[in-house]
Amino acid sequence: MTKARVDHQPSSLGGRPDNAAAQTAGPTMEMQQETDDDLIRACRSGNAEAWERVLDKYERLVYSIPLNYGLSRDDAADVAQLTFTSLLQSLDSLHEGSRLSAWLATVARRNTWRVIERGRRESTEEYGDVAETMPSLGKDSTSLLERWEMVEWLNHGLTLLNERCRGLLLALYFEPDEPSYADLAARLGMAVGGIGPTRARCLERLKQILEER
Amino acid sequence: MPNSHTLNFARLLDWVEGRLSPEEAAQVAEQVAQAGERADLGWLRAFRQVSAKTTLAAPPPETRDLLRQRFAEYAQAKRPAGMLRRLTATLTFDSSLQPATAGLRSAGTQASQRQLIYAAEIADVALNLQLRQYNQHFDLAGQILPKQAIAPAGFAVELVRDAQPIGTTTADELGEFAFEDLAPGMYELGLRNEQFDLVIAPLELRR
Repeated sequence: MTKARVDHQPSSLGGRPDNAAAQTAGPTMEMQQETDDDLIRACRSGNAEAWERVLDKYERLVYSIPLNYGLSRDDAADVAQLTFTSLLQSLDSLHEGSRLSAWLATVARRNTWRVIERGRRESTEEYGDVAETMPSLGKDSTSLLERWEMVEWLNHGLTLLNERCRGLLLALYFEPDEPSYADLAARLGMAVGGIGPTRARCLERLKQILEER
Repeated sequence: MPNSHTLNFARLLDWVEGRLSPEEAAQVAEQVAQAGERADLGWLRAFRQVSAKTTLAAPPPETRDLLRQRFAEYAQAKRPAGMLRRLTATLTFDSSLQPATAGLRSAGTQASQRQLIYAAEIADVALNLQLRQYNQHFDLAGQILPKQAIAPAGFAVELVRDAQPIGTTTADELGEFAFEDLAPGMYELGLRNEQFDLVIAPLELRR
């Protein structure tokens, strides 16, 4: 029997019951093994669950690119809607081997710049001083890293972690409101005392992933 | 006194993030100075700098709802016109309307379980509702039972509340499917394959 967990939380589930971590983390280990080609094919056939998995995997990326360019949450939500709608319109024409992460990041960036150019907010600042630290994080130092590339790169690394690590690191380092260890432990179903050691292991794993990319 | 802590990644992380006591921090600082340049220390400092300036947040739930709707429209538009038959199933059996048998132990459990059978031209749909005592929510287990030569596997099953899809799944090879942790209320259940769109509405989840 196939089961689905109904979404009661602000963050969406990927249809995986009995795992509180999935509510904050998004894609599951199984979805990490599912290729973008698999997802695209399933979506083309009208599989709504596959579309949910696409959203689980990439909605943070698409929503966060405009946020990191200084857009408001409302504008960022608009960019996310436009970007994923573009994906739907392009589904049938995407070729084999398309990388959804890069495709979505590119479209989100373009939509972000359109909003900026419409005058809602002006920001032409590049990721200057942070770009200088890229060699330390394992990124090619010869390219000047724009914010959207940074978001896409970090998001991709995080999607390759297991659910618990991803949920933990997102909450501790990348979400606007950092929860307390007690709140985090309750959310992820962990002991409070385990948060610290787990965060170190997860961060070390992320380091390995980012340096390999 | 020899250092009791190895200067490993976890310890460096605690030091970089200021989570050590002053005494421990001083100890680590001395170890770092003696060890010379460390790649992982440089990485941690860089990560701290980058993460402080980078947000990776989830969009509001309304965004997901809207995109679900867009996908439903996309999928609908891809179906060959005229080939999808919409059928409404009618309730033919409700265990909550059956008299409880006094004197039997099972009578007490009838309140926490409810069986429903819906009938349509092409299939029956059996639903079992199980009440979760601790939060008064329901688990719904169902099975589509075709009357014709229709494979039960692969039916897309969608649960809708207040005109919003709240859960989707796929029937397995036996036509079985399930949804968990449903609040009491009025729902609509849709079961869809390439030929048929079977609707059960309204579906009331109540004690």
